[in-house]
Amino acid sequence: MSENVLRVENATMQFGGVVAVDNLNLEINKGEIVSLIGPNGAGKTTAFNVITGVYAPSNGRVEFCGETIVRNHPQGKMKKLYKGQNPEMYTAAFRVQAENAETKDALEETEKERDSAAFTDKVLAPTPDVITKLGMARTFQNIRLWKSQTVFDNILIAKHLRRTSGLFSATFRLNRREEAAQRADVERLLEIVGLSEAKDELATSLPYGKQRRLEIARALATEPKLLLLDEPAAGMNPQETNDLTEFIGRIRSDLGLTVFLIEHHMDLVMDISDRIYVLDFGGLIAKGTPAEIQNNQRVIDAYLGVAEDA
Amino acid sequence: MIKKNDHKKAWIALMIAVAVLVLVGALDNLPHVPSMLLTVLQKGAIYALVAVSMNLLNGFTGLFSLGQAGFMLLGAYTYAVLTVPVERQASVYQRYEEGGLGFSVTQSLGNSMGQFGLLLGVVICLILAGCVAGFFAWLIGLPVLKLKSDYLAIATLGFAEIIRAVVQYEKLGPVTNGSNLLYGFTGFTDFHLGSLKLTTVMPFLFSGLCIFVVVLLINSTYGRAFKAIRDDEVAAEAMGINLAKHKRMSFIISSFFAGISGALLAMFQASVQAVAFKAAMTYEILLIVVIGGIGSITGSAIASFLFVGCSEWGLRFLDNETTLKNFDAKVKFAVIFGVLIAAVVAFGLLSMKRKGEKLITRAAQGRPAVRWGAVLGLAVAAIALLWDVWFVISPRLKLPLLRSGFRMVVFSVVIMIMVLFFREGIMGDKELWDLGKKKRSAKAKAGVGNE
Repeated sequence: MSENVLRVENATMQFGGVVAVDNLNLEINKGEIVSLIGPNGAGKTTAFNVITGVYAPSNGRVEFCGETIVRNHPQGKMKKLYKGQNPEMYTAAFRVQAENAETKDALEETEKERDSAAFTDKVLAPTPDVITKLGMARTFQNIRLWKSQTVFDNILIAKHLRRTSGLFSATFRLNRREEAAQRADVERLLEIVGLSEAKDELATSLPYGKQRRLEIARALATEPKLLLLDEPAAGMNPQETNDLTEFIGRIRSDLGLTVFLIEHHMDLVMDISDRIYVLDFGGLIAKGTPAEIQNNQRVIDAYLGVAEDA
Repeated sequence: MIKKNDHKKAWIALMIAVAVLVLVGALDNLPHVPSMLLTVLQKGAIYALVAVSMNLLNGFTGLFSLGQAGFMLLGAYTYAVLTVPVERQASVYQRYEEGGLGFSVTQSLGNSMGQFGLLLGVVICLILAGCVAGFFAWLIGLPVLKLKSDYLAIATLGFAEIIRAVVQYEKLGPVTNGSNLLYGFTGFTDFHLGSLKLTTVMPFLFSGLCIFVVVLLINSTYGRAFKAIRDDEVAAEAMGINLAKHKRMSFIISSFFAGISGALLAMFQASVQAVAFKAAMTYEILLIVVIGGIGSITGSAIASFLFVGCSEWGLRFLDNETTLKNFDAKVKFAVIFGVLIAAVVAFGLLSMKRKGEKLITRAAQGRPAVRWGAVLGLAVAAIALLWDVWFVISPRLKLPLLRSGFRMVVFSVVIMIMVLFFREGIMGDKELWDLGKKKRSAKAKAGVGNE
């Protein structure tokens, strides 16, 4: 059994009365390329935002490399509004109940549930930057590069989180060695994504496909274990998409990364994914290998729609 | 290769800095130098530092704060309280029994070590002034930095007003002298090298060093993180930059330098009174930052000298009621005024022509499109010219509008025009040393195009 990198348990994200992600369970193992697909508005990006810490889930738990990074249960206003499942599972009360269970049946039952919930008291990451530091980097659906910065600086800034020098030594240039190492690393990344020639141009002056590549390079600069790509091929022509498919495969084999991606280009998804999760209306409707997904009736229905009286 | 280049640049920068200091020192000591020029240079150097500190926050980190005057006040008072000479404390704090600290840092060091001790004392007090401002920034930063844009501006503005009120509080009188003046402390005039006066050199030196540190900071890995936060907060956080920590850092550093510049301002004025540090002062600094270009250090510095030069010297006449001596003077005035108006109109029309815009665009069908803004501008110019002619004919000699306060009106109009038409300011977000680079790369691109 390969090493578990990401595990999402019973994650529910509810905004007001709208359940955007409904009891999502998924896991990703080391070295895999896993895709998350689904029709527009299915909650894919919301799931990404929950995993990367942009939103705290209304309920559920996210585990990264064996450690719980986020855990929440419906509290405050959400307690009344909550429409999802397992509202009690992550509360302290549940644990007490589980520990006090007396009958053998109940004990077995709760123990099983407790194991799946895997209580840990340590919750590591309150904000996205901590999660990134732990080794999870992402790109955005609508490109979010730093607009006034050059290509080179965009990647260099992403190296900031791995700094060891303090404010004082950075200001008075006592960290030359680290700075030089960072710059060398940026050059290497530019080489990998093929943007060395454009390194002094403004990030926004690049063509669309290259901006996407730059965003991936920027994410790679944070030295992640898991790379999350939010629609990396959006707006690309078939040629660029092919290049990207090859590129993603290459970063996995060369850098030993695990990749989790959201995508609408089915060619790309079927080509490179080891496994696929399918979301619809916030809930998971299917998971499996590309071949399984292609023949799954529920997935086909979700994408094509079902005739009312069929 | 890169390193060599860096060394060369550093040398050039050092030479320029020394040259400027020598030049300023010469102005200090040569006869017949107008004292107004020296005043402008001193105050300009100090305002350059405040503007740069505000730019660090507003221009480089994207936090719109209006608390600068408050932090300057903290710095100014810290410095003044620490350096009022012991024998003068009785007269300065005359309204408060046992007022004053009973010691003066600069005095004790100055007495034991002469000019060097004085310099050391001033440096220590300046740093303390900065630290006090920085400490308060840390304190109010805890709640306030969670706010976004305009709310942050309002909160910091409120903080500045509160500080001003607290400093004037009677119970603090033995330290702050209440709402009365603090004076008699070490100022720039106390510095000399042998018989050479260093009155203008010192503010240049202090302010220049501080600005240099800010430039170093901005080009360091932390400065780059600040710029990332300014450009896109969400992306910055997703790339592992701790927003709260870096915003607080920027806020504290900015306030630290604002505190130092407040202390420098106290040294320049030779007296401090809380009343002076009103929101109007923050407004002046904001004006400098906007004119210089938000996100440009050199822009802030240039604009600061321009602004101080105009407000202290060049545009003083706007605040004085003026009556012309005779008809000849009136004609002279009218001609200059008319030429100015004509020049502005010509400039406007030329820039319109360059952009290929027309006053009235005739459409093939329907109504012709009219540029009402330009038409309005022309109308105003025409009215001004008509008034000019009428003024020459009429028997009046007194110039209209000129009276106390009109200068600020002119400044406000200038900032409105800037914001409407020249949002970039003098420098945009470029630095002086970027200008050559830009041209070169543009040329290189053109060259590639030709091939």
